Amino acid sequence: MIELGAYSQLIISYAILGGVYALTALGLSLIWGVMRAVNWAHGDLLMLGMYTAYWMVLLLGIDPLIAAIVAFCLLGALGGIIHLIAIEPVIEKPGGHEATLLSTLGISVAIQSIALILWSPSPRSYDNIYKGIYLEFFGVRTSLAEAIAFSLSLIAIFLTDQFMKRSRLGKAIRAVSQNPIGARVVGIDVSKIRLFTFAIGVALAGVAGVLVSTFYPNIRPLAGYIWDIASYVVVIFAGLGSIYGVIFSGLIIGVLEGIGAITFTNAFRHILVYSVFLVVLLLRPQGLFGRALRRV
Amino acid sequence: MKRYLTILALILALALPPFLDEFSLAVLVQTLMWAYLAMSWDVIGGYGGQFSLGHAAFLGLGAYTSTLLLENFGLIPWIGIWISGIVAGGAGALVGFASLRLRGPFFALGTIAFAELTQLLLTYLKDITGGPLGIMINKVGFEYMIFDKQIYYYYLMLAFTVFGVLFLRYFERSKFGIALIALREDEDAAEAVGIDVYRAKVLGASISAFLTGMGGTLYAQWIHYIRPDTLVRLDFSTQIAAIDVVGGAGSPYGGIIGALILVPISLYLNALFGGMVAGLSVLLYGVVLLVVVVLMPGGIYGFLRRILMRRERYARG
Amino acid sequence: MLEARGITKRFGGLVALNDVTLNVNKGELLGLIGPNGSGKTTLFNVITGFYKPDSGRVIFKGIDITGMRPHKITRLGIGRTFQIPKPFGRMTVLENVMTAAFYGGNASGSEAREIAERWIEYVRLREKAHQEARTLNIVERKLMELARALSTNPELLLLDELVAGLNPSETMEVANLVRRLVDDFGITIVMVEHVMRAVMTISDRVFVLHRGMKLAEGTPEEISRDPRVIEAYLGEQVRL
Repeated sequence: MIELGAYSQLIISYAILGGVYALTALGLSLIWGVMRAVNWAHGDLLMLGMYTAYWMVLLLGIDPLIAAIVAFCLLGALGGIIHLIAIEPVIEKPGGHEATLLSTLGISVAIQSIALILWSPSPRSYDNIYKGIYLEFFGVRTSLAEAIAFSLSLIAIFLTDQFMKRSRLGKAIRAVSQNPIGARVVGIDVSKIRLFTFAIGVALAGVAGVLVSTFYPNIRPLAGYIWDIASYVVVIFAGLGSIYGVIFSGLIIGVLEGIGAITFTNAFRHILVYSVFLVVLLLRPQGLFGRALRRV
Repeated sequence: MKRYLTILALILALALPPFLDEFSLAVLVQTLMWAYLAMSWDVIGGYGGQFSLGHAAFLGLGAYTSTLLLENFGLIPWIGIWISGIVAGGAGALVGFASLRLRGPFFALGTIAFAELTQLLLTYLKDITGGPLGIMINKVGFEYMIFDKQIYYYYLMLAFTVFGVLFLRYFERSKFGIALIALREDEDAAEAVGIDVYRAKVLGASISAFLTGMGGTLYAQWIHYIRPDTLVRLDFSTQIAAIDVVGGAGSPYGGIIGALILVPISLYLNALFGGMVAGLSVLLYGVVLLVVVVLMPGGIYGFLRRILMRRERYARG
Repeated sequence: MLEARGITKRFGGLVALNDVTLNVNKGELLGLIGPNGSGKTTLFNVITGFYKPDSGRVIFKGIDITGMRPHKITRLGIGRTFQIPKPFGRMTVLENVMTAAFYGGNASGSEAREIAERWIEYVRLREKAHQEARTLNIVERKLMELARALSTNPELLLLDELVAGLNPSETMEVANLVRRLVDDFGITIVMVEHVMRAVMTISDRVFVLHRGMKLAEGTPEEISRDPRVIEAYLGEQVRL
């Protein structure tokens, strides 16, 4: 029998992952909300964030958290480029949304193969001070790295939310996501907004990657895939347009995975998550918190 | 003009193989197999506009059905293949029902989850399916659809591929095919002109799954060893869709064109450069996909058609 | 022929239709007018099965069609056009109209072609018959949609803002086409329109909708003189 202590330990670990899922999902949710595009490469961009941290720590010896800022800028720029070649040219044409699925798939595959060629498939990890220190509260132990990752994810989400509500750019982004035609009418340059949104979404994924890299032992070119599915599950679960819904859903998914890992065998948690995903998708396509989708 | 090209291609396809080595034939077999799978996907993905990314599930269900029937009841695959199709078609109806509620990318994500669940089920129903270690097909002989030379597989796949093209050509003119195309173009308008869109979506998905399931049997008999995680894979599903889109979704020739472009290149590059630089062939695949999707709506077939139509207009003056 | 009784339709907090009752007599041309947002298209969508009403019934030729699927309603004999045309873009005009004949009109292969060609000829689109529908301009799309709806062999035809965006002479041409459908072909028609001249000149009767409720009903002359109707349209630049 597994004691309660170990239960909560495991669930907390997964819940922390849930925080990072939420950050990744936030980027996806923004991109989806503004331009209804699917970014298949999101997980791979997170992977690039991981490698950014890895190389910066190894080569420059700097603190991984500083690397987060670098990753934000780097990935943001890369996101802008990706947007210009894979999203913008197709998004306004008929069938554009499915087209972005495939075009970003092409990007994803390209990123993975370049990463494979440059860095080889072997998994890497790096040591940092945060890993070794442990915190204990309510009888649960987590590493400082995980705790920081979780808190910073929440802070990043909070900052993004404030940005959306208070800054001019943020308000413009929200306007476009709610009513693209109306936004154009009041003079907002919708293509520029799309570009910024995509860049920001990718930048957030990069930051998530850095945060994860502090405790995740498996930095490899193909790591992106895992985050993709989980992130989309969170996005669908949360629904459109809700930033805090994303946090909540991220936590739920994280906890669900944890429960699945304990109660059933380790891989049965996948079945649990996918089944829940399908059920939510079918019963409530707008997610738990999203606005309803229109008909006709 | 098109007719002469087709006849020439057919003659080449029929006469050339005896002169090729086993490896090249294996490449051709795989090319044709992917072409056939792409065409099966095209029924619902291209003509129906329902972008499924879970078709590997039907591949797996088909492969396992005929293989289990063979292992447990000695049923030869020449008959088993039809049952594979029916089982896959049944699962396809489920996906069809899902497409009634889910649109566009939501549907795509739903099919991904569906395929993952299928893979997980195949893995965990150990007693029936042999679990994660899969099933090895040990039999040999024509009646088991197992051949000792690639060339026999080649002609079998060629038959299926030609059938696929002919089927799609018939399909796009048929009453039902028109219904699918109409609902792809505008679902509400399709309902308004009297098309039962729900029925069409479910039936279309079933047909597509049926054909794909048969492909699963062919694949199983060619590869001799099926496992859930090497068979029902997301990258198989995306490859099927990508090949068809690159070649030209919603046309009878998209599958073949896409497969001819994407499959031989990656297989030959893999063989030449080996594992480390396997990244290279995949990179090429990604770039081709990106370029075609962004620059050529309608895929390569659509692109060629537009060029030909422009030439005609110039010729007419 | 058609009775929409006590139709109420809500979208969240908004009441789009509030206990609306509308009768359409066989063989008449009924104009359905009202300021923007009065619920005209919503009413069409309820009648043709695209929306389910929250309460009320729709009875067509004695059959209760409330909440039936649109394709069934089409096959029973109600055809419609959409306010913003919805062509099958990558099909040709002929294919568009033939599809309608196949399914809604229940025709066989060769019949469908004849029917389609006949209606395409009627709406004066013969030269464009083999062009892809997505290349058509807005006027041509509306005409094609009319031909398409006619090919479903309707006894009742619902037209949603057919002449919006046409210049005055085009408007009267199309209006005459519509009138002939009633006079020569015996089709019952309900026309939603904003262009008053078109509606008032060809309608037998007019039904006015305002904020989801019936405002007035009567002959074109009566309606154009009705002070309540005029007041409802104040703020809209309309000449009655």
